[in-house]
Amino acid sequence: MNVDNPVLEIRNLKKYFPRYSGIFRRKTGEVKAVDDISFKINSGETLGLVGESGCGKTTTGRTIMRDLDPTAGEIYFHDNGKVIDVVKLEGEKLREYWKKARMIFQDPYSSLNPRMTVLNIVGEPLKCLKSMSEKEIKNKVRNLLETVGLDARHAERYPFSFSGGQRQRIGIARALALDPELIVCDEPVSALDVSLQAQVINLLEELQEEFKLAYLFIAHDLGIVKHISDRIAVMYVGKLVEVTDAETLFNFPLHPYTEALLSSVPRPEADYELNAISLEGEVPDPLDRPPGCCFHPRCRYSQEICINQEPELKNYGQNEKNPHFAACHFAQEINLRNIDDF
Amino acid sequence: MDQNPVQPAEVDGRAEEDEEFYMASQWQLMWWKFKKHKIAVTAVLILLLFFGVAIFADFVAPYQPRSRHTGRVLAPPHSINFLSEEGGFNLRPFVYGFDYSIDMQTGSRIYEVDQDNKIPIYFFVRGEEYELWGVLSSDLHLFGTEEGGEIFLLGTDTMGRDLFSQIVFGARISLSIALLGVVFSGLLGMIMGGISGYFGGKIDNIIQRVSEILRSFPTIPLWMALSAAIPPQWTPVQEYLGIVLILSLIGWTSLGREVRGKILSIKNEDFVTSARLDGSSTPRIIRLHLLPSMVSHIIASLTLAIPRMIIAETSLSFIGVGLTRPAISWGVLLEQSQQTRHLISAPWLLTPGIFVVIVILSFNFMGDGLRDAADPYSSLTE
Repeated sequence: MNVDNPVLEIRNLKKYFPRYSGIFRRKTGEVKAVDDISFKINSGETLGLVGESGCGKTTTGRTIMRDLDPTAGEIYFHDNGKVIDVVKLEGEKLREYWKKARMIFQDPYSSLNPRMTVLNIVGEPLKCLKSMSEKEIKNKVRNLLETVGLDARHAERYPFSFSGGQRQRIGIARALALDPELIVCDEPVSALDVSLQAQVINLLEELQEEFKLAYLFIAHDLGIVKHISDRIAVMYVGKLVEVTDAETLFNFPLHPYTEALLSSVPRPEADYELNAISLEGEVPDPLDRPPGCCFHPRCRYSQEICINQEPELKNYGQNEKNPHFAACHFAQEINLRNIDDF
Repeated sequence: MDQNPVQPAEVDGRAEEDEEFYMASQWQLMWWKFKKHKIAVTAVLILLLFFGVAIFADFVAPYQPRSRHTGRVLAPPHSINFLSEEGGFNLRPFVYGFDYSIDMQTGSRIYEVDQDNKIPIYFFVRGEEYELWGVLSSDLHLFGTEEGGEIFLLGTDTMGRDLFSQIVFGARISLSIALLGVVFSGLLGMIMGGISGYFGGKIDNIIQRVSEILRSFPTIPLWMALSAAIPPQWTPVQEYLGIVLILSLIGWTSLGREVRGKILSIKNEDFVTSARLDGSSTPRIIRLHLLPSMVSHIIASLTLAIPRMIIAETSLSFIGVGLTRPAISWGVLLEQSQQTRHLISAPWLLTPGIFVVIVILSFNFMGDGLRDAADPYSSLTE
């Protein structure tokens, strides 16, 4: 892993959605979907972004893709030594960026237009961003389909004739079409059967090796990202609570929320008895966040200070090369259980 | 990497010959699905028949709608016979002529079947002259009698005009006014619903409130008020277009809502986001992603809106504020049945109503079939 070769860097990214109510549609509040997060992804590396539903992981992914415009913060994309300020991109420049940064969607049904053939779906970026001729597109699409393990003869078919796993492969082929450097994978396997999840993840890993891709891999459970991720960022209600490499996160978690997520990772052993830490209460409403540490109402270790003061994301790493960020007042005091303890 | 490509055919357990099915476009799938809806297909055939009759009205009707048979005021329908009174079978159908006497108390005519006067029916006979669509001059009729005979399949009205011929001509106006009204209100609905759904926010709010207000008016008084605004000196053509306009100004709301809802749901589908990230321009997204997903639903909704238009036109004309003679529509024809005196002695004056019912049911069944077929993927993917 090359530490100092970032492909994507985000700093203090915020995305707030205004909330309107009443018949006059007055602004009555803001949903802080993403609130001041920073991380970077190195070239050829996978960053796993994990958190419960509604914690802002998808919003993060979509903001990076500029499907959504950030409320504040910076996004930098490194393209062969050039640093591109993604937030300021418009028009032709934004289209250039979309050639390098691509996205795979969660729902393999909603992400493929049912009224277009696979050829046209996978060929769309080739046509719109590269202006290739019909014949070139046809050849390229056939190659792409074979790359992702589909039969090139099925290019003329419509999406309904494929199963969920195959559809997701089509989505992957579409993302690969322009030789990208970064792919935002928005829960690419959570809509699939368990048996297919492994297949698709393996495919993604093989493609990463072959094409030197960097992934932002969004998922809602740690078990999925464990194998594919080099580093993992844990997100809770719009904020990052822990960021470190996958190995450290699984063996030496520093945040109680990470501990709870680890406890719910499914285990392959047959006699395994689930003793997950069940989190009390609900994920807080991002419109009305609890004071202090967001996690304190559900935290087993919370104390006075957690209610009054918001913890900073600090580096507790033992050495320079291996930073370990966590946002907990007691990161060094409490002894959390790791993956093997459950 | 897995060297063996995944075979969809193997996974689904379907055979290779289903390739045609897998490569079927949405219209093909919809057609296959629609075909299975037997009632809807029957309805389409009935409607085709009706439209055919309306287009070739001059040829189908034995008489011109305004020609009066002065000796045959309020004559009952002729019944078509194959068997003569003596028991002999005639291959050529015939009707018996009428004799009438005057009821001295009421002054109305009493018709009696004259068994001695057999009038054979001929197909493709020469009869009254007409100009089809104002250009084709002819005197050929689908059926009729020879000179001197008469045939009133559905009786005659108070002026001695053949009701069947009038219904056939009335179909022209009743059906075309409904179609035109639906096209206008459809355009209006798509524009308003499209703006509402695509832009959202304040414009959406205003358009939705306006359509709610329009929907909450009681329709008949509103129609009456608008119709009263039509200047009386207008020609029948102007009057006709005026009615179309009135019907569509009120009728666009439901389609507008449907288009808005559809846009709202499709706009958030991942494939639209994906298309944008693939560099598709907004016109391309609308043309390739939004419209194809909506067209079938819009067609189905429009079909289901036609009956409302027909009812609206019929009711307006029936209460005398819509079309008026010399224009002939089914509503205009029904207007004469308002007088109870006639209704008791001549119940056949209600027959235009039967045609209204048949056409409305057919449009409803066809619309049902179209609506079921409009999303051919819902049953395929799950």
